[in-house]
Amino acid sequence: GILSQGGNTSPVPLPPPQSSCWRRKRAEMITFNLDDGFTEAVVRGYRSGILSQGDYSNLGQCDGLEDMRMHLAVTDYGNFLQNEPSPLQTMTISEKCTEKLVEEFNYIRCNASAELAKFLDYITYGYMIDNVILLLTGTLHERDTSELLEKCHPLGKFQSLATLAITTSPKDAYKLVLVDTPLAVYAQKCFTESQDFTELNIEVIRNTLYKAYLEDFYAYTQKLGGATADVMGEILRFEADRRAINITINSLDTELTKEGRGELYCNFGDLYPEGVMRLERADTQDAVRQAVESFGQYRELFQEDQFNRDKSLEDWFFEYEVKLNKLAFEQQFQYGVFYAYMKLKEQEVRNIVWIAECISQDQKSRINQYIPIF
Amino acid sequence: MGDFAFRSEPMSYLQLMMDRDAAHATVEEIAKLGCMHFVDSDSNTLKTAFQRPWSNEVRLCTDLLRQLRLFRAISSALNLEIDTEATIPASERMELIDLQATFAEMERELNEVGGRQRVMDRTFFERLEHKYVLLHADLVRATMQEARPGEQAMETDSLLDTEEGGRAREARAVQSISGVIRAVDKSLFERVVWRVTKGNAILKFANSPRMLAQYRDGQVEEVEKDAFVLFYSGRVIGDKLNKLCDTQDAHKYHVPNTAREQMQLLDELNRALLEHQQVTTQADKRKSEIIADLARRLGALEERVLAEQAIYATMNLFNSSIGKKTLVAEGWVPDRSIPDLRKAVQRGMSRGGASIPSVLSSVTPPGPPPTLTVTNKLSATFQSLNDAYGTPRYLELNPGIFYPVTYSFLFGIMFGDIGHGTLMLVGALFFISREKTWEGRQLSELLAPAYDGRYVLLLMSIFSIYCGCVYNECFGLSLLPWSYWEWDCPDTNSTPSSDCSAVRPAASSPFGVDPIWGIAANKLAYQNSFKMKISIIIGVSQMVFGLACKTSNCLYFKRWRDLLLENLPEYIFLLSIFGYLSFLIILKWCTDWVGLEKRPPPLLDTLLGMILRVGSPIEDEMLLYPGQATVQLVLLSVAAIAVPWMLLPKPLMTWADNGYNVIADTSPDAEHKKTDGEDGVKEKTVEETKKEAKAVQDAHGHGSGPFDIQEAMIHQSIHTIEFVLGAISNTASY
Repeated sequence: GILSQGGNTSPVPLPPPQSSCWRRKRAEMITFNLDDGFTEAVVRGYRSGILSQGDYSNLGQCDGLEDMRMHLAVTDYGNFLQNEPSPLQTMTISEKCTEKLVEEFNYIRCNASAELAKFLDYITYGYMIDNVILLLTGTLHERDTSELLEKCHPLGKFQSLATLAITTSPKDAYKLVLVDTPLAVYAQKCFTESQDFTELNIEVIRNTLYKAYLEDFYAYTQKLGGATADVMGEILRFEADRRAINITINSLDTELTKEGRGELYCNFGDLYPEGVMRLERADTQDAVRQAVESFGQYRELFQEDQFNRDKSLEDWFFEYEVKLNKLAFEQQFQYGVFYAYMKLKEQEVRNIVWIAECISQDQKSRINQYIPIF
Repeated sequence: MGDFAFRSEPMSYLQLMMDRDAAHATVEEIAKLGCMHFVDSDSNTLKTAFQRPWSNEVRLCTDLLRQLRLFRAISSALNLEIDTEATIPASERMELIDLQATFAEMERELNEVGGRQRVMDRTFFERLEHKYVLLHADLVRATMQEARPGEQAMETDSLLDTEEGGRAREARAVQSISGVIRAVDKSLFERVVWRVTKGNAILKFANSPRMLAQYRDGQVEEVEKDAFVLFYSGRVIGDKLNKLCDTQDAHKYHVPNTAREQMQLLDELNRALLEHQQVTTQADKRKSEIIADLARRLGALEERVLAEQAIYATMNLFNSSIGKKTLVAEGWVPDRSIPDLRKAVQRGMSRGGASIPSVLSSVTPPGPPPTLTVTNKLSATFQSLNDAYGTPRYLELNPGIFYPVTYSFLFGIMFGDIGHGTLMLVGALFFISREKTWEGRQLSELLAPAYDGRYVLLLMSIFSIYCGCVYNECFGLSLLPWSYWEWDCPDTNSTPSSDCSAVRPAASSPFGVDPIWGIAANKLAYQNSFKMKISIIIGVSQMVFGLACKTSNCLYFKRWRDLLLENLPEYIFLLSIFGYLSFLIILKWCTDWVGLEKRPPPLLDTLLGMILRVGSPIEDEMLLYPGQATVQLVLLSVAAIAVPWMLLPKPLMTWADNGYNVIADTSPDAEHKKTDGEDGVKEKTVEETKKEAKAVQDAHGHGSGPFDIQEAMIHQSIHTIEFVLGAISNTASY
């Protein structure tokens, strides 16, 4: 039929296949394991090493950090603390836990196929932004650079990170350092002022950087399509909403204008666009609540917040995040598991540190405020 | 001969009640025998690792081991001798608490010396870098001056000799920073310098990178570094560049302008470096003094602390909730070690100074007994090959016992070569001769498997040589030129050549194949066919042997149902198809086809015809013996019946036993522990042991939980499919 159309003898390209989600998913099922089967299996194996409820209740019964070391030795953490002299510090536990997570991440990154490697790199950009901001704020407060570097997350370190310490203005920082990093695309828009750093503009920079990063990451995952788009879409939309709510609440009685606030919201998310518009106009905590109340998943947010003083807004967000990340493991043949594993493990490190702090400061009554995972 | 038991050791589940004071000594004595598998007491299920009574001791041992690792690292850094053979005389045995005090003191002292040394080392490394910069920076400067000869003239040729002019000159004067930077950071450094100064600074590298030591996270590491000189002018840029060097981890060093000053500085540095070396030697000597005495006993101490840790960890398994003074241990013991165990318990009791006598008694076990296969040096590797496929259940026939012969022989059939086999034999003998010196040592990744499998190699090589003799092959060539055939040759030379034609065999070869095949033109066709057929016969016999092992188990445990409903149809299936094939092979070999003046029919077609053309008569030229079609029809139908026979009846009958419930609970009454008399380890009869084992096997069979017909059917069909397909594909691969 093609050849006979209007006597045109050149081949007419076939129409592109209908981009139905179902079809892409099916293709994924067939080909996913070619490139990413091994790494997915590895990360699922890591997942089963996440501390269980039983582990937490055992940790909660510890009388000291030495007890914790003993119990952690029988979990997947193994003998990661074996060469640390007693007495143990909470800092050491946290550092060693993070070190282990980074090791696992690097193992997966080394074994990742091209597409997955890119996805994993996207995960590290978040840590890079944190490190950049940490260094800028630290330098503003005249902290020692090497001390700051120690505090940086190992996954977000890049070669010229330390050079940020000699920059004085956003423009400088961009031209000297960031232009060489993967953050350049995000930094292009917000590192334009040549005025010196202040606490407020660093905060604004952080939020704009993060906004640009999240939007790019979101667009990337949606482009990947299939189950990855579903799973990551839900997680990142929540992330965008959480940022929007936090920005609004934190900027409630500050010099940040409403227009300035509006520029910090991501252009996606479940709250986008009406919820975000309402948030932009909000003046009080009540207005924030009204803005998000009509969204099912956030309805209980402020109710609980008002009745239960033990649980902060942040805890609620963490809990919801854990829930979404756990769900990511219910679907196969998608990259969401890698992101979810990192986030769950980070939550686990926070939990361990919380328990360790409670134990070492003798505040055992508050020990149960950690966020259970599995 | 006890080492070569066909079945695993009979086990008993014993309970040991003892005085708390005697526990440590008793565990130590039992540990020396290594004959008891302690089981965690039921009363401990809710207790975490750190809630056990001896967790403090375990923790203490962990810390001592950490310190010992530290000491070992320091000793080997100091090249101190560590005596691995040393033992600690009983009189000098220190208690853990004393060890802790000594170790802590020693660690403190070592840390002090080490800390001082680290500070010194840091300056030492800095001086080394300084020296390196000094030696190279001048060169770099020289090249710069050559490149821009006019510069100096310009500087001196100032037009304005006023104060302002002086300042301008100062600002314009070229200043420099010299230092070292990691070679990998060079390009980044260059880029950032350019960006910071907008091109108003010149960075030159010496380009002669050298490995220099530095501290990183408390560890000394060698990094490739290169010297650089940065030329710039102006104070603002200078400040920026100085800061930049700090953030880029570039170490700056002062380089004087004149050659004399440089020489002076170099001398100073050299002197300081020499001094440092002396001080370091002294510090090392001091460290050696602290640690030397311990280093000699390091191996023994490690052993002791590890043993203590194991003892306390074992004691943590005991039930300590019975009373203040008693501890109850439970565990599996091989029956034949019970007398030794009793003696060990006595020794432990008297050593520990117990006030209550220890009591051994047998109790109802909580689960199936473990399989204990006693092995020796030779059988251990073969047994581990077997266990890689699956450990036999308690008291089942251990197939690993046959491995030394079957495994090595099958390898020999495939490898079969005198020359290669001899090489392998030499290798195996080499590894065996190293046994004394290598045993217990950590070997390299490549060597370790070969060493561990040295007896496997030995037996495989011997069988290869034997099979090589049978094939008459050495390094792929035939060894002996003579022949047992009668030859018709044009010239009456004794050795047959290509002009000759074989007439008839004069005599049968007394050993192996006739050597003449080695040089025959149709060697490959003959040998391939021969080897393939022999493989089928041996493969089928091996499979039948596997079935015989199963029969032996069925008879031993008196499991008649398994024998009749699983084992028997398996025999029938295997023998009626593949056993028949082996029979055909032998029949074909025994028939004198030349005498019959017939072409021998290909057996592959015969076998395929048996399955594909069921019931149709066989053509004359394909016939091997009269009545073949009928025999084949009968055999095939029997084989066909055997498949549903092994698939259906067994799970259905078990279902019937369970009253046709979809899910029924077959677990016997709740387990209750009963003690057989006071000191009641009575000698069990063989029958009793068997009965116990059978109970265990039965429990295993149904997964010991509720019986589920679906599960049973799936298991049985997997078994059947695996057997049928396994038999076919194994034979096909032969």
